[in-house]
Amino acid sequence: MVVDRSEKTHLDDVELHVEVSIDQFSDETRGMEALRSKIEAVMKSKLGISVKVKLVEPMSIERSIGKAKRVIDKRNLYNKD
Amino acid sequence: MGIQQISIFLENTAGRIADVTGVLKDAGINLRAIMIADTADFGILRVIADDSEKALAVLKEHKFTTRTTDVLAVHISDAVGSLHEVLTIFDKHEINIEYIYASLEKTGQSAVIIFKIEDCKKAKEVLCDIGFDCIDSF
Repeated sequence: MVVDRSEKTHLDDVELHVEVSIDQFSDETRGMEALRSKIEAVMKSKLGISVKVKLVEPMSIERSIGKAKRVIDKRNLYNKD
Repeated sequence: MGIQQISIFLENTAGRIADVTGVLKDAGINLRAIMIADTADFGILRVIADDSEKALAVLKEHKFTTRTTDVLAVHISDAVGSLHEVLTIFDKHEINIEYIYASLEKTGQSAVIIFKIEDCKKAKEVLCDIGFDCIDSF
Protein backbone atom coordinates (compact mmCIF):
# COMPACT_ATOMS: atom_id res chain seq x y z
CA MET A 1 0.00 0.00 0.00
CA VAL A 2 1.44 3.35 -1.06
CA VAL A 3 0.42 6.60 0.66
CA ASP A 4 1.22 9.85 -1.10
CA ARG A 5 0.09 13.47 -0.91
CA SER A 6 -1.20 15.34 -3.91
CA GLU A 7 0.61 18.63 -4.55
CA LYS A 8 -2.52 20.06 -6.12
CA THR A 9 -5.16 19.12 -3.54
CA HIS A 10 -2.85 18.58 -0.51
CA LEU A 11 -4.91 15.49 0.23
CA ASP A 12 -3.51 12.05 0.92
CA ASP A 13 -3.96 9.33 -1.71
CA VAL A 14 -3.82 5.61 -1.05
CA GLU A 15 -2.81 3.21 -3.80
CA LEU A 16 -3.04 -0.53 -3.22
CA HIS A 17 -0.79 -2.73 -5.34
CA VAL A 18 -2.34 -6.13 -6.02
CA GLU A 19 -0.42 -8.97 -7.62
CA VAL A 20 -2.45 -10.72 -10.32
CA SER A 21 -2.41 -14.51 -10.15
CA ILE A 22 -2.89 -16.76 -13.18
CA ASP A 23 -6.39 -17.66 -11.94
CA GLN A 24 -7.43 -14.00 -11.94
CA PHE A 25 -5.84 -13.13 -15.27
CA SER A 26 -8.23 -12.46 -18.15
CA ASP A 27 -7.05 -11.93 -21.72
CA GLU A 28 -9.56 -9.08 -22.03
CA THR A 29 -8.87 -5.62 -20.59
CA ARG A 30 -12.49 -5.26 -19.49
CA GLY A 31 -12.09 -8.42 -17.39
CA MET A 32 -9.03 -6.95 -15.69
CA GLU A 33 -10.73 -3.57 -15.22
CA ALA A 34 -13.69 -5.38 -13.65
CA LEU A 35 -11.31 -7.12 -11.24
CA ARG A 36 -9.76 -3.77 -10.30
CA SER A 37 -13.18 -2.15 -9.81
CA LYS A 38 -14.32 -5.06 -7.65
CA ILE A 39 -11.30 -4.75 -5.34
CA GLU A 40 -11.74 -0.96 -5.14
CA ALA A 41 -15.42 -1.42 -4.22
CA VAL A 42 -14.55 -3.94 -1.47
CA MET A 43 -11.88 -1.61 -0.07
CA LYS A 44 -14.30 1.32 -0.10
CA SER A 45 -16.99 -0.67 1.71
CA LYS A 46 -14.59 -2.11 4.31
CA LEU A 47 -12.45 0.98 4.97
CA GLY A 48 -14.82 3.80 4.11
CA ILE A 49 -12.18 5.55 2.01
CA SER A 50 -11.39 5.46 -1.68
CA VAL A 51 -8.35 3.39 -2.54
CA LYS A 52 -6.87 3.27 -6.02
CA VAL A 53 -5.94 -0.26 -7.00
CA LYS A 54 -2.98 -0.93 -9.26
CA LEU A 55 -2.72 -4.44 -10.74
CA VAL A 56 0.88 -5.63 -10.86
CA GLU A 57 2.70 -8.78 -11.90
CA PRO A 58 3.14 -11.70 -9.49
CA MET A 59 6.19 -11.45 -7.22
CA SER A 60 6.80 -7.84 -8.32
CA ILE A 61 6.11 -6.45 -4.84
CA GLU A 62 9.32 -6.46 -2.85
CA ARG A 63 9.40 -9.11 -0.13
CA SER A 64 10.84 -8.26 3.26
CA ILE A 65 13.29 -10.60 4.96
CA GLY A 66 12.44 -9.32 8.43
CA LYS A 67 9.33 -7.44 9.48
CA ALA A 68 6.86 -7.10 6.61
CA LYS A 69 6.76 -3.62 5.13
CA ARG A 70 3.19 -3.30 3.98
CA VAL A 71 2.89 0.48 3.77
CA ILE A 72 5.16 2.78 1.78
CA ASP A 73 4.72 6.38 2.88
CA LYS A 74 5.86 8.79 0.19
CA ARG A 75 4.60 11.90 1.98
CA ASN A 76 7.31 14.31 2.99
CA LEU A 77 5.89 14.80 6.49
CA TYR A 78 9.02 15.53 8.50
CA ASN A 79 11.31 17.24 6.01
CA LYS A 80 9.70 20.56 5.11
CA ASP A 81 12.72 21.92 3.12
CA MET B 1 -10.14 -26.26 -32.65
CA GLY B 2 -8.77 -22.83 -33.56
CA ILE B 3 -5.41 -21.16 -33.28
CA GLN B 4 -3.95 -20.97 -29.78
CA GLN B 5 -3.21 -17.42 -28.68
CA ILE B 6 -0.99 -16.75 -25.68
CA SER B 7 -1.89 -13.72 -23.57
CA ILE B 8 0.70 -12.26 -21.18
CA PHE B 9 -0.01 -9.84 -18.34
CA LEU B 10 2.59 -7.07 -18.24
CA GLU B 11 3.08 -4.02 -16.10
CA ASN B 12 3.27 -0.82 -18.08
CA THR B 13 7.00 -0.30 -17.65
CA ALA B 14 9.79 0.37 -20.13
CA GLY B 15 11.36 -2.73 -21.62
CA ARG B 16 8.76 -5.22 -20.41
CA ILE B 17 7.65 -6.26 -23.92
CA ALA B 18 11.31 -6.67 -24.85
CA ASP B 19 11.66 -9.06 -21.89
CA VAL B 20 9.03 -11.28 -23.51
CA THR B 21 10.46 -11.10 -27.00
CA GLY B 22 13.93 -11.79 -25.58
CA VAL B 23 12.74 -15.00 -23.92
CA LEU B 24 11.02 -16.12 -27.11
CA LYS B 25 14.04 -15.23 -29.23
CA ASP B 26 16.37 -17.24 -26.99
CA ALA B 27 14.04 -20.23 -27.34
CA GLY B 28 14.06 -19.94 -31.14
CA ILE B 29 10.36 -19.09 -31.33
CA ASN B 30 9.00 -17.02 -34.18
CA LEU B 31 5.90 -14.87 -33.78
CA ARG B 32 3.12 -15.05 -36.36
CA ALA B 33 0.94 -12.34 -34.82
CA ILE B 34 1.24 -9.82 -32.02
CA MET B 35 -0.90 -7.09 -30.48
CA ILE B 36 -1.10 -5.30 -27.15
CA ALA B 37 -4.09 -3.91 -25.30
CA ASP B 38 -2.91 -1.37 -22.79
CA THR B 39 -4.22 0.69 -19.92
CA ALA B 40 -2.39 3.28 -17.81
CA ASP B 41 -1.03 0.62 -15.42
CA PHE B 42 -0.82 -2.64 -17.33
CA GLY B 43 -0.96 -4.22 -20.74
CA ILE B 44 -2.12 -7.54 -22.11
CA LEU B 45 0.24 -8.77 -24.80
CA ARG B 46 -1.36 -11.26 -27.17
CA VAL B 47 0.86 -13.35 -29.38
CA ILE B 48 0.56 -16.28 -31.74
CA ALA B 49 3.77 -18.28 -31.96
CA ASP B 50 4.90 -20.83 -34.51
CA ASP B 51 5.26 -23.28 -31.59
CA SER B 52 2.70 -22.29 -28.96
CA GLU B 53 3.41 -25.16 -26.54
CA LYS B 54 7.11 -24.33 -26.41
CA ALA B 55 6.39 -20.61 -26.18
CA LEU B 56 4.01 -21.16 -23.27
CA ALA B 57 6.52 -23.38 -21.49
CA VAL B 58 9.39 -20.88 -21.71
CA LEU B 59 7.19 -17.96 -20.70
CA LYS B 60 5.99 -19.87 -17.62
CA GLU B 61 9.56 -20.87 -16.87
CA HIS B 62 10.42 -17.16 -16.77
CA LYS B 63 7.47 -16.50 -14.42
CA PHE B 64 5.30 -14.55 -16.83
CA THR B 65 1.56 -14.56 -16.09
CA THR B 66 0.02 -16.24 -19.11
CA ARG B 67 -3.13 -17.84 -20.35
CA THR B 68 -4.16 -19.42 -23.63
CA THR B 69 -7.24 -18.65 -25.69
CA ASP B 70 -8.68 -20.16 -28.85
CA VAL B 71 -8.96 -17.60 -31.63
CA LEU B 72 -10.10 -17.82 -35.20
CA ALA B 73 -7.61 -17.12 -38.00
CA VAL B 74 -9.07 -16.48 -41.43
CA HIS B 75 -7.45 -15.90 -44.82
CA ILE B 76 -8.98 -12.75 -46.23
CA SER B 77 -8.33 -11.30 -49.63
CA ASP B 78 -6.00 -8.29 -49.47
CA ALA B 79 -8.50 -6.05 -51.23
CA VAL B 80 -10.82 -3.18 -50.39
CA GLY B 81 -13.93 -4.36 -48.55
CA SER B 82 -12.80 -7.92 -47.79
CA LEU B 83 -12.76 -7.47 -44.03
CA HIS B 84 -16.09 -5.68 -44.18
CA GLU B 85 -17.55 -8.70 -45.95
CA VAL B 86 -16.51 -11.02 -43.10
CA LEU B 87 -17.76 -8.61 -40.44
CA THR B 88 -21.10 -8.36 -42.22
CA ILE B 89 -21.41 -12.15 -42.17
CA PHE B 90 -20.68 -12.21 -38.42
CA ASP B 91 -23.27 -9.47 -37.89
CA LYS B 92 -25.87 -11.39 -39.90
CA HIS B 93 -25.30 -14.50 -37.75
CA GLU B 94 -25.20 -12.46 -34.51
CA ILE B 95 -21.61 -13.48 -33.82
CA ASN B 96 -20.02 -11.04 -31.42
CA ILE B 97 -16.32 -10.18 -31.82
CA GLU B 98 -14.37 -9.54 -28.62
CA TYR B 99 -11.31 -8.18 -30.43
CA ILE B 100 -9.54 -8.39 -33.77
CA TYR B 101 -6.02 -7.94 -35.13
CA ALA B 102 -3.93 -8.76 -38.15
CA SER B 103 -1.30 -11.45 -38.44
CA LEU B 104 2.21 -10.94 -39.79
CA GLU B 105 1.41 -13.75 -42.22
CA LYS B 106 0.89 -12.63 -45.77
CA THR B 107 0.71 -15.10 -48.59
CA GLY B 108 0.22 -13.76 -52.08
CA GLN B 109 -2.93 -11.69 -52.30
CA SER B 110 -4.39 -12.60 -48.93
CA ALA B 111 -3.86 -11.58 -45.32
CA VAL B 112 -4.64 -13.49 -42.14
CA ILE B 113 -6.95 -11.77 -39.68
CA ILE B 114 -7.30 -13.00 -36.08
CA PHE B 115 -10.70 -12.84 -34.37
CA LYS B 116 -11.42 -13.45 -30.69
CA ILE B 117 -15.01 -14.62 -30.64
CA GLU B 118 -17.02 -16.05 -27.77
CA ASP B 119 -18.43 -18.85 -29.93
CA CYS B 120 -15.35 -19.60 -32.03
CA LYS B 121 -16.76 -22.92 -33.29
CA LYS B 122 -19.93 -21.34 -34.69
CA ALA B 123 -17.96 -18.53 -36.37
CA LYS B 124 -15.64 -21.04 -37.98
CA GLU B 125 -18.53 -23.16 -39.26
CA VAL B 126 -20.29 -20.12 -40.72
CA LEU B 127 -17.20 -18.91 -42.57
CA CYS B 128 -16.15 -22.37 -43.77
CA ASP B 129 -19.67 -23.03 -45.15
CA ILE B 130 -19.40 -19.86 -47.23
CA GLY B 131 -15.98 -20.90 -48.49
CA PHE B 132 -13.57 -18.89 -46.39
CA ASP B 133 -10.22 -20.47 -45.51
CA CYS B 134 -9.98 -20.75 -41.73
CA ILE B 135 -6.54 -21.96 -40.73
CA ASP B 136 -5.63 -24.24 -37.84
CA SER B 137 -1.91 -23.56 -37.70
CA PHE B 138 0.74 -21.24 -39.05
